[in-house]
Amino acid sequence: MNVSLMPSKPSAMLVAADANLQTNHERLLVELQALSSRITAVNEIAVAINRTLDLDEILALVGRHAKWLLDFDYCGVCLCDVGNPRRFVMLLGTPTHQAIYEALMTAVVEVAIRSKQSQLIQDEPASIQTWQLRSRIVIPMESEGEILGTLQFASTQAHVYTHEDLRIGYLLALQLTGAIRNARRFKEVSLLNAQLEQAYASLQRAETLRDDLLHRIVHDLRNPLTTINFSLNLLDKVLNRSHQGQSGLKYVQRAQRAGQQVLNMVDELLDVHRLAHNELQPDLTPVDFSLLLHERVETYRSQANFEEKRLALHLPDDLPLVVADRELISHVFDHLLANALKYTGAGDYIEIRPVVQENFLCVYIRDSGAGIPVEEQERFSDGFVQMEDATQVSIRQGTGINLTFCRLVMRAHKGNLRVESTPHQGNTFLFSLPLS
Amino acid sequence: MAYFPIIEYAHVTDAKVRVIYEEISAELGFGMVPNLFKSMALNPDFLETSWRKFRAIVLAGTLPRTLKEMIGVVVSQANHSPYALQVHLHSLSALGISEELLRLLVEDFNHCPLPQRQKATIQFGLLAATQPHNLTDTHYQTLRAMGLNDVELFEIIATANIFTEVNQYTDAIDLEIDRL
Repeated sequence: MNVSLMPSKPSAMLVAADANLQTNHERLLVELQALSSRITAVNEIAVAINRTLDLDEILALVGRHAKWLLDFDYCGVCLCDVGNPRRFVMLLGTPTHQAIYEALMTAVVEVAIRSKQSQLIQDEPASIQTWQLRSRIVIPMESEGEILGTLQFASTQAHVYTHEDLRIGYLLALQLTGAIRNARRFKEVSLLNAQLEQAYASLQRAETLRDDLLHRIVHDLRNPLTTINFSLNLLDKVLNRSHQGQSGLKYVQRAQRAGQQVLNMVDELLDVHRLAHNELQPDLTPVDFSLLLHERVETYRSQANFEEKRLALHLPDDLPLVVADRELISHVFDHLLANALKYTGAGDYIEIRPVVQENFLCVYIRDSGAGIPVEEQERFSDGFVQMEDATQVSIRQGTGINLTFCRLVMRAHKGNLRVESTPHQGNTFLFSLPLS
Repeated sequence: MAYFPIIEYAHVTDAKVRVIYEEISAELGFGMVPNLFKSMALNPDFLETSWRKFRAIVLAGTLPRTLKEMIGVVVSQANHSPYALQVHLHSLSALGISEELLRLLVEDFNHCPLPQRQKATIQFGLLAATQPHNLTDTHYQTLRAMGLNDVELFEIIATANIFTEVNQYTDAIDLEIDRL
């Protein structure tokens, strides 16, 4: 067998085949580039529609940009929302033909929604063709298993769309699905927010009504209470003069004390209301705190001794005068000291220490009683708060009005009130007043 | 070698020029200032006007930037202007689009595999740049029938206008192509 190793001259057929291959190669390259440019256009649309959470704006943007992706005479979406009828929106097309377009697209849209599959119609059979929309693409928009709607394109020409067009449409539908889902979530969150705001406003109105009612009741209680106390005082005097009345005197005096307590509470509630509504302004004068604290501590000395508690006042030599309302501050101190005495036992100590820190006079009232749990301390700044332990049993008796009063007095003085407490190691109540 | 100096950022003394260079570098997408603008630094007001116009037409607007870059390439091909042709081809090649595709658009419109609307728009832009007197009502009506509105039609004309200007300017000064 004679085999020649020399390359033979290519035949005309081979040359033609080679040229054909070259042409095919170039054509494929060009088609690839065209596809690439359309994918870039999809990305540009994605960037634009992800800048907004308004559904109408998103659809308008798609309508404006989609024309650079595919050839069509009609582009639209059909939106599905649970509990609502399907909504067709034409993104681009002849406005006067909108109703016809939608009627023609309905059947194929329903197929796409039901099957969750894209539909490509190359040429609608003439028998059912009532108008010219011969080529159609319908792509379902699915998110988290839910069909949000469909994106559809249609042309009056037959065989306009290829599978490449379907892929481009699918890429756009993916982006549009994400944008629609985000817009819906945003709308839901906005709606919830509006409902919350409405509920909050309603609560505020109810709270104002309740406060006003409480204020009126307390205000109305004061007059009959004053009359009762006045009558008890008169009765006390009458019984004191009469020997026969001695046995009833102790009951009258008990009633007097109880009546005075209730009256004090009523006055305090009225003061709290006035302070909270800025109706009670502090009567500011220079106050000698050394003198004030000494006076107040001595008032409670006998009670502390009787209850076997150590009560100590540590006064520095050079305590400056502080501009404040002497009466209101005395009440604050009384409440805090009475509170410390109430929640300490025999053998415990209570110490009072005023200190100048930066531009404030700080008065520390420290005791060795049972501390307040940390989580309860965080609630300390709330109004009328009762402290509770882990079993929700109240660990501080009373309404909490005293601490509320103290807090409001401090606010009126631009001062501060806080508690530092370690469970089972005691509490420190601290109020501070600005020096200037 | 250009007939005018290419002023680099380090040698800019005018505050306005410095600000514009920084804007171009940040917004154009190349991370640098092309020679086109560096050659205008001799006249800060002209530089500012040219940049603002370029930004308003090419970077902003409603038409996709890719489409405007394609118009830039076909206009520069027709004007045999190498500067804008190379700069826009560089930009488009990053998106997978070559000169061959755009040449096919001009030479064999029917076989270019771009959507009809895109092809018609690019051809309209080319006609507006190279044979503006031949633009007729029919050309406008064709694009309107394809769904283009006045804003988009204006943008095509403005794009053709700015690339014609850039071609004339860069050819006249023999501007060096940037090292991209």
